[in-house]
Amino acid sequence: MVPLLTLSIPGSPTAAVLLGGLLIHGLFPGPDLFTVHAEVTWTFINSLLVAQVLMLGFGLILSQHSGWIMKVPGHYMAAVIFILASFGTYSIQSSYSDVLIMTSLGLMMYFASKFGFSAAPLVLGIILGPIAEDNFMQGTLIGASRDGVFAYFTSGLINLTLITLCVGSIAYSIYSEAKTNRNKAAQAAG
Amino acid sequence: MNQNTSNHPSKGWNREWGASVCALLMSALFAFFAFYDTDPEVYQFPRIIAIVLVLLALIQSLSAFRNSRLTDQKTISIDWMALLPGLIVGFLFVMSLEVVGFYTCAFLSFLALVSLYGKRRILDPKALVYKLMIGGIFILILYGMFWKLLYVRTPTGWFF
Repeated sequence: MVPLLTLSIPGSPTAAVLLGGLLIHGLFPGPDLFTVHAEVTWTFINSLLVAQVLMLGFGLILSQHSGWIMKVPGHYMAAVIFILASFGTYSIQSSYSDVLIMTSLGLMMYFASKFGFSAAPLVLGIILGPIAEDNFMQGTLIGASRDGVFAYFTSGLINLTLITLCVGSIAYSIYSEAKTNRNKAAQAAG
Repeated sequence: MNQNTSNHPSKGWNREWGASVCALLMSALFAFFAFYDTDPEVYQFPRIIAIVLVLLALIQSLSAFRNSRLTDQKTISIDWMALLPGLIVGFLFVMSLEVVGFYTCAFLSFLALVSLYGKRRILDPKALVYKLMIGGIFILILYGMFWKLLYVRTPTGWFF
């Protein structure tokens, strides 16, 4: 929640959905959230505190009995989820095309998940994409009026630190995968 | 629905290869839309993202190609025969939603899905009554809560 509310960086798909909700209501995470929109933000944070207390109470009372939901057969769950998803999608804008898009994306994601694609980065991309694009365009305009766009984006301590971290993260993941595969190949050979 | 992920090298599709091909195709499609007949200034951001995506997809494909020699590659098999009835029901539901009406369609689709994927025979009278009951209660809750209480309007079509 801290990176989400201060830097608008959602750490999980749930946080990304929350960010989407905040943006729909015109609340852009960052310093403004605690000054201009302090009323909404503190209500939001306080409600989380209350929710924790309530969760304890409800958890203690309901946890013994709520296990029955696991006994609901998968085909009943699938049918209910499909109908509710269609209903929810249609009701937002009363648009039939939205239902078609939801069904197509659901189907696509079903097959994609079989190949190991996760929904989380897609959700993050959809929510963070427009924010990144707006800020990039803003940065381009500022950069063009100064020393040039490239210099604007690649100079300064914060920029360089972030670029180094990104490159380091990608390089490390490639290196660790290559190392794992080398070990596997060595095990298979020997 | 019996989709399996296994380590058997000869059955189904290689998971890593499949993922790489999907990623490459998607990034190529994205690059095509970012570069084809677009204003370079306006589409600057999509173009940069498209180039990065294509590069990463190429690296992933290269890695998948190198790993294809390994014997413990995960493979995926999809039971199309089990999946097909669900796809047909879903397709019919979406296509007839506006013509027939949401609640009628939802009730029929619910009934069809639980009958097709249930363990008991489709025409078993006892099971059929049970499914009708559950489906009816579900649709009634949906109708009462959203149509009556929250005034959410769905397509009414021929029936409702």
